[in-house]
Amino acid sequence: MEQQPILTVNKLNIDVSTPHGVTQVVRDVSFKIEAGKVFGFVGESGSGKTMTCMSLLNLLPGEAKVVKGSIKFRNKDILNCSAKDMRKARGSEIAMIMQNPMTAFNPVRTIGRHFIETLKTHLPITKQQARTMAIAYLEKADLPNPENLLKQYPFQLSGGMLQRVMIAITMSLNPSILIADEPTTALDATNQLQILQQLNWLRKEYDTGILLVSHDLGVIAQLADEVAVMYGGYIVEKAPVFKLFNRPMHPYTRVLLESRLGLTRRKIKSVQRVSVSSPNLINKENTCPFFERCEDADHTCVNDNLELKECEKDHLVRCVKSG
Amino acid sequence: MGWFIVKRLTSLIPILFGISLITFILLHLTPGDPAVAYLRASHIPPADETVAALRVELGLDKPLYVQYVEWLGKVVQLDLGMSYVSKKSVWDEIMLHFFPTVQLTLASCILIVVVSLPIGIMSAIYKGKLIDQFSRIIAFVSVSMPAFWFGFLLIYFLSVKLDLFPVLGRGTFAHLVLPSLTLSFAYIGTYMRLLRASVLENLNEPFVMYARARGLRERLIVSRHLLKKSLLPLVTGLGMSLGNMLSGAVIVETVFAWPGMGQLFVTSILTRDYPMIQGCLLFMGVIFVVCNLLVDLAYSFLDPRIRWEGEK
Ligand SMILES: Nc1ncnc2c1ncn2[C@@H]1O[C@H](COP(=O)(O)OP(=O)(O)OP(=O)(O)O)[C@@H](O)[C@H]1O
Ligand code: SF4
Ligand SMILES: [Mg+2]
Repeated sequence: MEQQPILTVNKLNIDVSTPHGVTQVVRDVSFKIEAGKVFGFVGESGSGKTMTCMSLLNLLPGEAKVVKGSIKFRNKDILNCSAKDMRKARGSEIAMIMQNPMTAFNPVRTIGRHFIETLKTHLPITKQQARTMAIAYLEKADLPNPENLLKQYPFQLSGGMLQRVMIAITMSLNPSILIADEPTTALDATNQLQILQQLNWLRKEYDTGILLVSHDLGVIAQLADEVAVMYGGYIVEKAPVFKLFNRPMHPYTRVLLESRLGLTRRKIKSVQRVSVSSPNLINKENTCPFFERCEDADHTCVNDNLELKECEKDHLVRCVKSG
Repeated sequence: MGWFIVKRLTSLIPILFGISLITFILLHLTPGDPAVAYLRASHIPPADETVAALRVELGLDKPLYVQYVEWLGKVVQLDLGMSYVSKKSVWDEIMLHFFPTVQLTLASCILIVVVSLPIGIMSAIYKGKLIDQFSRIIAFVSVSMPAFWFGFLLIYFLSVKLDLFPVLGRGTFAHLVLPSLTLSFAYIGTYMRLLRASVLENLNEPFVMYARARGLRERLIVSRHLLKKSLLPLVTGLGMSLGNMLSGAVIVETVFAWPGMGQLFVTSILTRDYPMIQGCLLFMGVIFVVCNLLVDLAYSFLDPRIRWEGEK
């Protein structure tokens, strides 16, 4: 039985204007997030993951702009709804966990102030009620001594604790979508695991749909139901997590997977090629974005309709050699 | 917090000691004989025997360190000696001139904050818009226009032409308007742009992004998140300016015949009134130290990280 998706992104294109011209940072990105499901985003630094995340909240920085495509949350058109509606949806319906917990909080304000101001923005409650609520949710997020925690400043807490505070704030408003932009990148291994367990608990308990961003395939493998691999602003491969790990089809996905496993001599060479040069985001029209770094590249890769094609059920790849 | 203040206060003792030493030595290193200066100020011809007699009377014949200890002993009791010129107590004279200076400083500080705070914040939020352009021009004019010229312009238009304010002197509230406008004008431009830069810097911080992602109203983000954080660099600057203004604004005081510290100091230098110069220098040194302490306290009030460090 097909579930109705909560969030639908369709053919999203984002441009960034820089002093050197316009850069295409997100291209033709489409995906869906369903309730209680985790959708994973992998890709190297600069592949456009954060840009995609911010556009879901309609919070792109001034230089960036959605030039094409649509984002639909339930029946709401995110890109065209009023500023007030959008503001109200942020935090309460679509929540976000920031990439770096150490800089996400205002250093001169206590945890309590952050928590309470968020609750009071979205709920018609008094400060005292908000405080009680905050304490309850900090406890749920496994944070010890929540009353004292409310009085503390961000710099007095560890990154892992701050990350959990963000999760607690998210939980308290029970959003239907949580965007977690590299929630574990800034943390050590123990904290990473705990955060992932908490996210997993969140989707089971509250049926929250999660967009999990990471450049670590291991993190994605633990939690995601479906994965999209991003390269140079494009989704180059999209599949349910088992299919992607068992049968990676795009050359870039294969390199990513191989670089995690044991490598043969030939493979090392290919990995080095990938990590040395950087993706050229100002794509020449009609050429595969991975062209310059691809082992299998040849003249057929200059192709007029290089699209995401379904090679097998639910397994989509953007490469002329597949399918 | 209490500990923090006590710690800062005790660290002031050696600094104050140093200031007194430097004040004393500086003056005794400068060429010229205080005894001769005294006689000149009293319109007595400096004949050799009179000078010698006076040196003994003033204690100038003793070794330098003895003079310093004696002087310091009196300073601690707020006895800064007697002016060579007016023959009045230096401390009393300083107090007499300090009050007008405080008045002028306070009025100017209020003006600086009231004007540069809103314009600075607005020109950051509406970067490149009309208000930003406007503040850029004000800032440019304010830092490039000499204070005496601006003062004269104000006098010419507001006092002489429109007869809104008195031209010179001190007395009513109306007397305070033009001098404080002139004094604050030079600072307003600087602080406006400083605040703008500070807000702009914070505007791109992840904590502002996160505040937006939590759905907070923009007004709340500015008033609760940006303001306090952006004020930090301003506090340092304002503390320094406070010290500057409290030690007297010579030009503004001269233009408006405002009887403040600046006038007292300049006159004492011109008449070589040694005790008065010494007293003024020491007093200004202490003012600066106190202003620094105030900055530290304000900082620790605004930034919990410093408060926390201080209590560890
Ligand atoms: N403010 C900006 N001005 C200009 N270019 C930008 C800006 N922010 C991002 N970009 C460009 O947009 C592209 C995508 O950036 P994005 O932050 O989405 O990458 P990411 O996949 O999240 O990378 P990371 O793993 O480092 O977080 C990058 O090539 C980056 O150079
Ligand atoms: S289209 Fe060509 S260049 Fe692009 S990934 Fe496939 S084989 Fe490599
Ligand atoms: Mg990112």
